[in-house]
Amino acid sequence: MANKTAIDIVTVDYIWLGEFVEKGLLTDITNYTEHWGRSSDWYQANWDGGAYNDKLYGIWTVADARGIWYWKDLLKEAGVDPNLLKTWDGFIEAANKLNAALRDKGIEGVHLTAAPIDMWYPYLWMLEGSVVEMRSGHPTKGTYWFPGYNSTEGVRALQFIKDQVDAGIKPQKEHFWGKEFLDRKFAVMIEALQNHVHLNTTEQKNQFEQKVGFIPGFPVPNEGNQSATIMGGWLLSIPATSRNKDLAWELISLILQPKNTCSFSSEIWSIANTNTYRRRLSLFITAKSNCPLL
Amino acid sequence: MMDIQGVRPNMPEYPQIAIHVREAINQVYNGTKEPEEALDEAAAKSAKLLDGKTCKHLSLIDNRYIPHLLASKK
Repeated sequence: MANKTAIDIVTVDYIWLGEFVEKGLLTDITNYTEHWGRSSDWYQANWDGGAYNDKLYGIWTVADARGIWYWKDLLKEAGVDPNLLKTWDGFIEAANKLNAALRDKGIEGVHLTAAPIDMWYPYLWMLEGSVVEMRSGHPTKGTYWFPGYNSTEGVRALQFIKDQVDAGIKPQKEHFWGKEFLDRKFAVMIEALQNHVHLNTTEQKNQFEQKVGFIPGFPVPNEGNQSATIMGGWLLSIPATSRNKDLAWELISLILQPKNTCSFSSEIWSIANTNTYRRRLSLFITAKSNCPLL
Repeated sequence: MMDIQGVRPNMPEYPQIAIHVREAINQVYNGTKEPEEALDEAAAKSAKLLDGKTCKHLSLIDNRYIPHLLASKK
């Protein structure tokens, strides 16, 4: 986009939105969406993810969310109750048992991504910490933003990561986004697997769920605590240099029609269609459409 | 259905803030720093980067959670 591309539609990770807008790279699509009348079809958080400085620059189209995946047979072999994975202490206890039983076979108990910033945020948030916080009383600027992640909650969240390392869980420098789990190199992995699992029939889905278990969310400090996950997301936006903005918006609005979004998601994010996800974690289509697949 | 607890802010500085956090986590992984020390040092860099950034530059997603953010500690 900085090279004044003639491309008319781009996908933008929502965490880049502010940077792109500040550099003048994206088209303000607020007017288009006001006439469109579909903003209420989105979860508010997803809709707001396309906004910056009170203007809209993108429509959140697809998302993913991480959870705990595990091979049922490997946990059984190690004598691990999957419910152990739900709490911090239990997660480490399970890892120890799994490593003791499986490492000699070349299988690691649990996967821990190296420098897992996205894997750390859910622990921060479930403790009610935040990345940035608002403060008041700046001598010249009034209310302002300040980093909040080094709060007591942030330290506690990072301590849990440290506890995992101290317990012998090996941070993995290479990250294959779930392929390593599906290759059975790990018994447990916190990940979104949609990049590597394509379940197109009910039989395929049933077979998958017979082998692989899923716990929505991340382990929690104590039993009964509210869990959390992290949702990534990609927006559809129009570059500022597009020469066909009206046409680009028309195509975006077509892509975002429920029937098309469902079809798109079922192809790209098919793991979202497993029974487990459907029941517990239907976050994959950010529009509140009546998608028959979810 | 969705209960939003926190967000990664879409402010222009966020990608750099993420690098600060990643460095802190790496230091803990490597055993060179304890969590509190690593995060405090990272946050000092992030604070310098933000430099009293005023709220008007942030997106609706952040403004929506101002009550939560105000309630956060530290």
